[in-house]
Amino acid sequence: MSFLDISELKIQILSRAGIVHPVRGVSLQIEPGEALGLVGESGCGKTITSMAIAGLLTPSATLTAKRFVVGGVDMSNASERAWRNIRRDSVGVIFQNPMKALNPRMLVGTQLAEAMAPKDRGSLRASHMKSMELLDSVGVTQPKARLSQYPHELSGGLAQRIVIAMALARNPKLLIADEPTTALDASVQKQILDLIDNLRKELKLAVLMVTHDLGVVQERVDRVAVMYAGRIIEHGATDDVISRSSHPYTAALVAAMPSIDRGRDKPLQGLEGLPPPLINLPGGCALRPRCALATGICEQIDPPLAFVERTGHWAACHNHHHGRVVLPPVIADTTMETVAPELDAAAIMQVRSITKVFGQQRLLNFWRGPRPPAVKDVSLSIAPGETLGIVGESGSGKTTVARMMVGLEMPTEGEILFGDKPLSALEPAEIGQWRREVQFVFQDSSSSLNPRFTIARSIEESLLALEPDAQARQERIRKLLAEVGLTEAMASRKPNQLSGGQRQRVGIARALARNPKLMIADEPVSALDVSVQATILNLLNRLRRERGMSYIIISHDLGVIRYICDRMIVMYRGDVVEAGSTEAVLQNPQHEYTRRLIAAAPNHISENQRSTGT
Amino acid sequence: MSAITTQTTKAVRRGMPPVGVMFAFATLGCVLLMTVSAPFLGVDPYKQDLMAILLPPSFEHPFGTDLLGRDIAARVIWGGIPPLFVGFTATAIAVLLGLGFGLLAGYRQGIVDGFLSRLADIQMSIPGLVLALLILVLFGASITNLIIVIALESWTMHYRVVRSQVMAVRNLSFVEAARLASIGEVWIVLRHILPSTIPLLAVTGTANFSQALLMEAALSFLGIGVQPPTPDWGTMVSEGQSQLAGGWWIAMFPGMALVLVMWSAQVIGDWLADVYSVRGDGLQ
Amino acid sequence: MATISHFKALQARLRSPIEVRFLLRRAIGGLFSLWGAVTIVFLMLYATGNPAEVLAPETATAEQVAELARQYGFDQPIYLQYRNFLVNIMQGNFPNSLYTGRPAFQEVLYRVPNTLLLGLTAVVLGALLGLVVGYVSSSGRSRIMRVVPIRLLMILQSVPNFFMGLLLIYFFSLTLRWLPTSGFSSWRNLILPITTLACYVAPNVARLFRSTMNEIRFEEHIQTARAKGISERAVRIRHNAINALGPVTTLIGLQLGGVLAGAVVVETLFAYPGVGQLLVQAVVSRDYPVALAAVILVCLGYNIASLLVDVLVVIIDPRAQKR
Ligand code: SF4
Repeated sequence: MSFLDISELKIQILSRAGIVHPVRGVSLQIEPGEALGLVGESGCGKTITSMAIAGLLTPSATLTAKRFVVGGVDMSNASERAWRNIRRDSVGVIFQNPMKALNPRMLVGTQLAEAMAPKDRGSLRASHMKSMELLDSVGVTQPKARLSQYPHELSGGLAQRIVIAMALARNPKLLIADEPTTALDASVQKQILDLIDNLRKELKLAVLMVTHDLGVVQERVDRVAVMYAGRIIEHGATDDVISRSSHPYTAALVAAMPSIDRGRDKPLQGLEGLPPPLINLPGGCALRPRCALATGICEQIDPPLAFVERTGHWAACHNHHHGRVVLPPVIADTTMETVAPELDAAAIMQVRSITKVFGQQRLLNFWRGPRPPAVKDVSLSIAPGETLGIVGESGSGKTTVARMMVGLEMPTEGEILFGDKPLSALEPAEIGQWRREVQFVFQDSSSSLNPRFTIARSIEESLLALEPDAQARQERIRKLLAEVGLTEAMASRKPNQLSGGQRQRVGIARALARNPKLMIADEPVSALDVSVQATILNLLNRLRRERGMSYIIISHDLGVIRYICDRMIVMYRGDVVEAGSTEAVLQNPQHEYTRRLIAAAPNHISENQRSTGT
Repeated sequence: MSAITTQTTKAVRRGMPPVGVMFAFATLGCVLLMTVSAPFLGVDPYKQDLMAILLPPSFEHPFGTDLLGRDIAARVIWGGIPPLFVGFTATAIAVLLGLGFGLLAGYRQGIVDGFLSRLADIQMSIPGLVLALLILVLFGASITNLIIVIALESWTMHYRVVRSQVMAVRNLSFVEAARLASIGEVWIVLRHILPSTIPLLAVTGTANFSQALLMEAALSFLGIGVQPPTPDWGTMVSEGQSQLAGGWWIAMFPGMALVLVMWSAQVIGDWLADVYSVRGDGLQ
Repeated sequence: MATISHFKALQARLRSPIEVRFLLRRAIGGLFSLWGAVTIVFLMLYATGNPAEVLAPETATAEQVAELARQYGFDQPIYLQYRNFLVNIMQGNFPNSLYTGRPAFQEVLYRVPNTLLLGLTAVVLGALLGLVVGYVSSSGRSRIMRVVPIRLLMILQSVPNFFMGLLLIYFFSLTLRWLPTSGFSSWRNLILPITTLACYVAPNVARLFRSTMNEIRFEEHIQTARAKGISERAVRIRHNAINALGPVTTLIGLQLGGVLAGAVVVETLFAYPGVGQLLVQAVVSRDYPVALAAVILVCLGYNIASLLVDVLVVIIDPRAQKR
């Protein structure tokens, strides 16, 4: 019998604007020892579904279900007390951000003890034994020392292991992992996923893995359910669903993923637009406005989840009888003809063995000793028409290098050349030229645009020093918006009225405003959903082709680098550990860290699976 | 889901302030109007009528009379002038000081910040009222000195809030983008940084106003602020204390006037903090 | 509930939350501020002209003033005067009171316990009241419980404490004749002053405790705690309420100045023999030596108190010592 058996789960939340329906009929079963992946973009209802299974909904949410059985107990009308018993005895939960999932005020040991069964925490000795045992089982080194640490003294990976240990403290039968690796670095991600995998096998756990990343799901779970707008729209064996998607949304997600074995010749398929707000949802298929295959019937009837004979799994689309979905060929602008880099031309910028040490010596800090440098002896150069990727995990110094190149930080040692002159020796006119020709695109976040300024005003700021005539400026802004694929109506909006993807387009337009020769983009897509990511990456590629610009792309994602860059540099703890052409580095990594990074990259969606799709 | 909550809060924010807040605005407005127009109302706060001492509130003397037969109502109307004047002026000076120093320290950082912040630390290590007592006793009690003392005591509140806001904003991506677009430093401060401190100052300014009012009243009550016979709410409460048994009205009405103004300021301050989602307690 | 003390025991056994570096830094900062405060007092004294003239009785002859100036070194160059000033303060060496003729420092010291008794009791009671009301308004079962107590308390906030005290005297002493109006002859004298002062502390504590609890309620670690399957009550208290104590304690620290100001006013109003009343008396009657000694002592006490509060904050939330 399934450990978890849910049918027609619906959740409503009463808000001031009306009734929100984040979950609109979800059915799931998980057997002991089985892992189910629940996949979707942000706002599709996957997290709230998983929280409902743990009975952790907010009081303003009401839940109805035809069947809601957890561990053989019917929970459809369960009291808060019954839920607590279930959480205590049979369900463990792992949260997205381990640093926030631990109480910052309490020692690790105290928090662990709190999760234990009474017999285990009956005495200090017993709880100590049990804690050591738990930490050991999740692979925490020096478990004894950890017990007397505070969460803020731990690294993200370590904290996540401790959260897992807490979830396991009462030997649960079901483990719910809500984006367990999203907040972690790539190399740590793999370890945590491996750990969950091993625990599942050893302890015969049923695992519900909630994630936005199809790559995470592919190697780790048996079955996958794809959610969109509060419903499951495709469900089946993982490989089946990914390689023979029967729903346009899944197909688009798969086609949108940049991965390390996908070159620029295989264009990404983006999915424009946003998931619909789940309030007063009109009838018909929820994907309709974004769907490339929508027909008249999609507007009237919301397709039910039906078994698709030809692919052997379930999908909710009127087109399912065609079997595997074939998306229309990608829009013309992504067909690539790579601009041959003019490698012989003089470099636009060169970085010569720069080192950066942060933090000035403060009076009361002298005993802490010198800080480790954030960037150690890094050199690089970028020629016209060339694209360079810098990859590394957080804290590797990759962003610092980029910021030094545009003058947002000063190198402690070494020099940076614009053309053939060091930045420090530039004449005022040349500084102007440098500021024009080298542009920076910030990582999208709510802070990349002034929340008080309209979009037009934000872009205009970039033009102020170049274009004295206000009329001409407005004209330029209109052109720029069109060039990055935004409508004119956006000009008068404020940043909070835009989606993340749109904000990033504005950021790109702001950089383009000065007709740069080199654009340095810091994690340009890391804050975006996969489908939106693809549209931005395609935009970057198109601009490069049309304008013949050079790029330096900073990213933690090998797939992104692979998709855009000719050359790449791998940074690790401030050092460049590997450099060369993208192909060469990925095919034949020399440094131990690069190899680890490639192995850890979650998305090996194999080429043949994909090519049959396109 | 989050999109919806933002929408609703925004709808709430954009609409009219709640009834309580409207009422507070009205109250404050009335008191201000009365006080400003005191010289034109033809009431004399000094006129003694020895035939009518310690009269309870009546039709003729709505708030009663004091030991010298002066009309409490007239004195309450006039008595608002010192606290409100001191409150507004001291707040304005303190806000300007705090804003200027805060911008300087937050934007320049380094030595300037170190110096100003230490200064603020020292300032905050002397309890306000004690410093005020000392200054007033050494340099004499005058309205000017009162204003200086109160402004000195409260600039640190604005300074800390502005400074930490500037430090938070100055490294945000959009400010760096402006820097990369060759916008001058002064313009960056004016365009991007200064506007973001205004909501904070609205909140701390309102809090400062009621504190300043309280301080002026307390000093006057202690006999170190406004000196009799000048009508002043704090002084009047103090005068009424000795007559509490025989004439509760002498202290009651000026006291109530104070309560009304402080209440309105508080309600307005809370509302502002709510609208701008700022914490009004100076804890960031 | 036995488990809570058990966890506490475990926590205490494992590690002290305070780092020496934090203590050191905080203590140095406190000493620096205190030095700054004393220096400001000195500068102000000097700015009035001749400090000896200020400190001497009004009736003093020129010789007597000169004698006093020599005794305390006011005839020396300013840097020496400054040094003497600091040395004298450290030794508690102030001129005699102009009225009682007793050493000013002793005069003040004698009253310190009274003020401590009043101030500490009021802060503790006020904070407790604020915490209770704040907790109820954040986690109360019914809407009435959540709204009414805090609204009532907030009204108190807009009553200046001298007026508050006056109202209390009017009702409880004059009308009901339950409690004495002034002086300090029995514990019953303490009730009204403490109530007045506690009314100053409680509203802000209640409001901040409520808003912090409501913020923390949506933090992710609360969900983790729930996921452990511990009772809702334990989640509320151990993870929500106790975590919210940090900012509240910081607020109490920031309010200490206000409490002191309140104590000065309340002591004067109730003729309670504390440092505040002495200070006001000295100021009104221009007894400068006593005023000076009181100011310095109050600064010292104030700095010690805020240091203790900061340490308390760190004990509650160890992250607070990281900058
Ligand atoms: S039902 Fe229509 S709109 Fe919905 S996914 Fe299928 S084709 Fe697209």
